Amino acid sequence: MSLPPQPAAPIEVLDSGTGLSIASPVSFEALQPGVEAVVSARHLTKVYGPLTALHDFTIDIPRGSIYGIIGPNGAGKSTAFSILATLLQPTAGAALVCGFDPTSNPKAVRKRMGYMPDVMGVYERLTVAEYLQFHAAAYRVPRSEWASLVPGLLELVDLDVKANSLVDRLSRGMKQRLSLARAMVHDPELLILDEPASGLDPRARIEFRQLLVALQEMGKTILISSHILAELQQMCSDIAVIEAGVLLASGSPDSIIHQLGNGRSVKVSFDDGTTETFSVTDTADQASLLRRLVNDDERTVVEFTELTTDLEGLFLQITQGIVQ
Amino acid sequence: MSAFAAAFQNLNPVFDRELRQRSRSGRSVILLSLLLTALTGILYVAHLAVTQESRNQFNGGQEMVTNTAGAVMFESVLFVELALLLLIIPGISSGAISGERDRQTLIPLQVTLLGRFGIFMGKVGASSSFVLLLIIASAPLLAIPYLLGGISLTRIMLGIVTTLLTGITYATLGVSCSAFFRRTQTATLMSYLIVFLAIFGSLVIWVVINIVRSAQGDFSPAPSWPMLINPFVGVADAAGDFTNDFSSFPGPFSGLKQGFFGDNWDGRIASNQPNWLYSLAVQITFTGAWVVLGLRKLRLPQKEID
Repeated sequence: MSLPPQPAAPIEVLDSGTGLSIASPVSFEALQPGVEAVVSARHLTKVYGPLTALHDFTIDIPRGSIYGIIGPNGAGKSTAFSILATLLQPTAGAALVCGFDPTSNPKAVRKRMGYMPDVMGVYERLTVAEYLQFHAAAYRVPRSEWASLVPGLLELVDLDVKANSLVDRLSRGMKQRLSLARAMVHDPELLILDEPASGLDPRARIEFRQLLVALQEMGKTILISSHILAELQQMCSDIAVIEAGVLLASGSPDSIIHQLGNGRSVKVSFDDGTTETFSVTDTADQASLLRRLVNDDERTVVEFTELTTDLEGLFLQITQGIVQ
Repeated sequence: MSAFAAAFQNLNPVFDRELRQRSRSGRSVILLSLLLTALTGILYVAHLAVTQESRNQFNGGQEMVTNTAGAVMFESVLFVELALLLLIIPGISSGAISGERDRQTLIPLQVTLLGRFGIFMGKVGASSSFVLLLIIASAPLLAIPYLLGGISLTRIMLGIVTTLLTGITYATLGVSCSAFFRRTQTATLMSYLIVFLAIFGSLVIWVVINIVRSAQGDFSPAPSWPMLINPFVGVADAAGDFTNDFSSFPGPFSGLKQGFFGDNWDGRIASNQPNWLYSLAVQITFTGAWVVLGLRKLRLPQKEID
């Protein structure tokens, strides 16, 4: 495997806000010209013994986008997220998050990135406001800012009335929203959300989705994984499909559907009660198919319906349910 | 929030949060009450013992105390206090970090700007604060024997300080085990095992050395270095005394000091070495190795998710 082009050597400077030694941001050459990527991964690979959890993973996540990563359980989503969130070292390849290498410069990344794991743990005997204050202190947010920061975040995630409630008494949906507020406590430019909607009821899911769209409108870049494909299709500007550690497709939902769905498919019902589905590339191909079936002497076409391909259909089409 | 609390939070948010949570739990108050009750009981029993001793010496005469009564009472209380600390500390500290893992709160903490040292020190500070609280709360009990005489203020202070440092050392060891071992049960088991080995393992080694030396015809006092890892022996050197008073039984620490650091056959000649300092140094060095191992486990990014 050829190694990716390495970013230019970072220049050590001291951040005036935190006093942390950080490097100035760098970038890879964009996969798509003109797109400013907040996250760039080049040939990321993670191997655990005989298992390759992630293989040659290369993506660019444009600034201001909601980028969804979909894939079955064990596909490598969490591995990719863990590498980008400074938790895990890749076996090969490189990544830049907000212009910094998460492996060699994790603190610079953490300062600019908010991470929400799939399970939110809670502290006993701590109120919602204290929980956020604790994380604000852990992110070295100046105390003078807390008075406006904490109520503002709680209002954003619609938990302002729960400010003095104990965290462990919140419902799952509320905990998820609080976890999102925690990830935003230091006003990061990037949010990495691992299965944030798992276990939420339909109303909580819709509210959560609306919240993410609102955050996108505030200029945040959001990297999200989910099993709810329809949900991702509704809110994501870009999507990557991953299975068995391999990136199968990436791009906008419509472009992926068009690119991998080879245009469209049609369902045809015959007078003998049978139904068949045919793939067609374009309108001309569809017309050609119809003519051929109509001229078929053995069976008569009673219904000819064009099927719309959604993300779920596409997902089933391009993934094979491989479990590593 | 008071300026005092704000200073704590600025110093280390983990430390602040731990104290905040602990103060809202009734467990610390109950534990502290039980410990102080036990120590008060020990003080009373020690007082009964020394007055009975004086009765015996003066053929059932007037109740009075010998000139070592204060020392015996002080040592008895401190001995039990150290024993209780060593019993409680692993239970408190060994879940400090593994408990965060269990509750799924460690990763959100690790991706903050605190860093592994900040997290670790916050946990050590919180565990050590309980040791400090117990020592401070029991200080009046330890001061009562001073009124009876027979013990210097320096010895009392030295005994308290070495007990405090020993407690903090084992609290740090517990937190290190908690960082190193993924499961709280394993960390707790290992912490107790280390305490057990430090106390009884060192004694076994010392006894074996003595047996071997005796078999070789060498009946001089055995070297005391195997006992330096023993927390009781370290505190004994600081809080005990080489008494020359044949009229009274020694306190538990004086007995240990005479047994392990005495230069002649009955241990009545003092070794001038500051053995308590060596003992602390050995214990801190041993704990330091565990701290390094624990901190390695907290380093991110890891090669494998723990």
